[in-house]
Amino acid sequence: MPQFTISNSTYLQLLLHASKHFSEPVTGLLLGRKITDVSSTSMINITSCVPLFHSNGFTLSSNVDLALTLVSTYCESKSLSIIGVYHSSSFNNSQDLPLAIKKIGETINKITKTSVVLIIDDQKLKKGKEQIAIKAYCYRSKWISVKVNSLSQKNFKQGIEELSNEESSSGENEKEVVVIEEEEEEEKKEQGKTKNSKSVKDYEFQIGDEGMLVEKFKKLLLEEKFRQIIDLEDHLNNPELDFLTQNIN
Amino acid sequence: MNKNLETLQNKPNNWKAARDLLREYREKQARNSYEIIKYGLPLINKKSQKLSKEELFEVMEQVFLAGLDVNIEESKTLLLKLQKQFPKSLRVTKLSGLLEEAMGNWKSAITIYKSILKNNPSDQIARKRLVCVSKAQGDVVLTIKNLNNYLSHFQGDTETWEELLEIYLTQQCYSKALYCCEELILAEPNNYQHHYKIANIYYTIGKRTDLIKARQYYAHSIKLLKEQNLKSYYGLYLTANKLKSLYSKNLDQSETQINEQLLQFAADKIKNVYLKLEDNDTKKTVLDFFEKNK
Repeated sequence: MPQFTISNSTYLQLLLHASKHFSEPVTGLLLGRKITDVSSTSMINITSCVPLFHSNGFTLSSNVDLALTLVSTYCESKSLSIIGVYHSSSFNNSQDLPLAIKKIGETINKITKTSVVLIIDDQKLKKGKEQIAIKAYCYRSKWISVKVNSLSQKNFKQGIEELSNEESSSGENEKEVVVIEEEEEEEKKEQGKTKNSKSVKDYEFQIGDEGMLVEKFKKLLLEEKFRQIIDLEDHLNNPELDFLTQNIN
Repeated sequence: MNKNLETLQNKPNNWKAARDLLREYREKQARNSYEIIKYGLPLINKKSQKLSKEELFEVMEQVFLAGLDVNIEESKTLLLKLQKQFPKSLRVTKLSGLLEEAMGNWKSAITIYKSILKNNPSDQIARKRLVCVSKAQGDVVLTIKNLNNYLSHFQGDTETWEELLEIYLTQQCYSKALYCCEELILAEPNNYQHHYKIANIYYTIGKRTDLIKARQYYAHSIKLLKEQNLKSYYGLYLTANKLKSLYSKNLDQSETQINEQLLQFAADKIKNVYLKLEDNDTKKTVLDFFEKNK
């Protein structure tokens, strides 16, 4: 069963990117590794992100081509691959993935055969009621919504053990990478996906402890850490700035 | 980094730096809401006597607008003060409309703006706010309709043409986006940004003739601004590269030569920009890329 996980620092960084440019749509790439163990379970770990745009630049192929070109060269040198894209829409209440984001995801899928889109849901960040604020989608001939589950403390240690066995080759010193279990959304079953040999049940998207992440995000906002986020657009306006490695946390 | 901002980070109580910073932001109409609230609120609350009456109310309006982004409770308080001071002011009424918008009370906001327009039918700001409400509600069709309606009355408003351009791009209506860009170029022919934008759209449409047009517009953008225009050089490189890889059979010899020259020109210029910089991941990646793709 393929599983997707996202490291805590990546999740926080993409939220910070969106916070820095609160009035605009933000887009960025997700980088990580695909690991297949003996039982042919593949795990896709998102270990970092590269912020790209804080405008409608994502709708233009010239910008996207530039981003994918530079980031894939970068990935080669770090033995990472582009796993997917994250986005925060300028339109509120938008239920669907924007078409341009789907296209970017499909382009990524052609190259790496896995693609995840994370949409930032700012409704889930209302004061006093903060939760994990992303919706996940993965591509299996078409875009499937995948529920994001936050790991509770009970499964925490078990998840860490499983991961540390599989990620021994990973260069990341990510202590807090956690494996999350996903449950299927009932409505997806009802859509009659019998044509697809693998059922949606097979996909799980996991993220760390909700309470901890919410607290950490609030703390980073107060410390105004979002100022340190640099995206591709910032780099094009000032080439001295490095957009490929974010140094936060 | 901004001089005033630097001063304030070391001495947060320096009211002169705060006042000057806010003046700069007002001039540039910058939306740096975090900073405006952080340094503007203490200015209003504790040092209001240091500002002239005129400036005090301008700062209050500025902090009110910033609060709509980051601290809405402060905005509510400020609006009450402004309403007390200027009870029948059109300007303050518009601010009350903005507060309703920020809180998501679309009907109240629309009522306020429509009543403004009833008495002041040529008021551009109220008209624009109505467009913003429809955009915030997610009603793309209505937003486009409202924008076109506005532009039929006020054709010279480049800010609105840019807004319409952005919406068409999100809806993938590239030919209509091109039309908006052409209006921008007509209005401001020496603005390199408009040429860069139209080049991006032609590149996105992507057929052979479009790529050639894109290449021309990137080149023109570079002609208008030779330095500090890295994005146009990248655009030129990518376009020439795409023409080379996709359409080399369809280009005759002279065209192929021109394309190759432009490709090399852009590549050299980009490399030169990075070679002057300190080492970091981005510099290494870019130089790696050009090494592999000679």
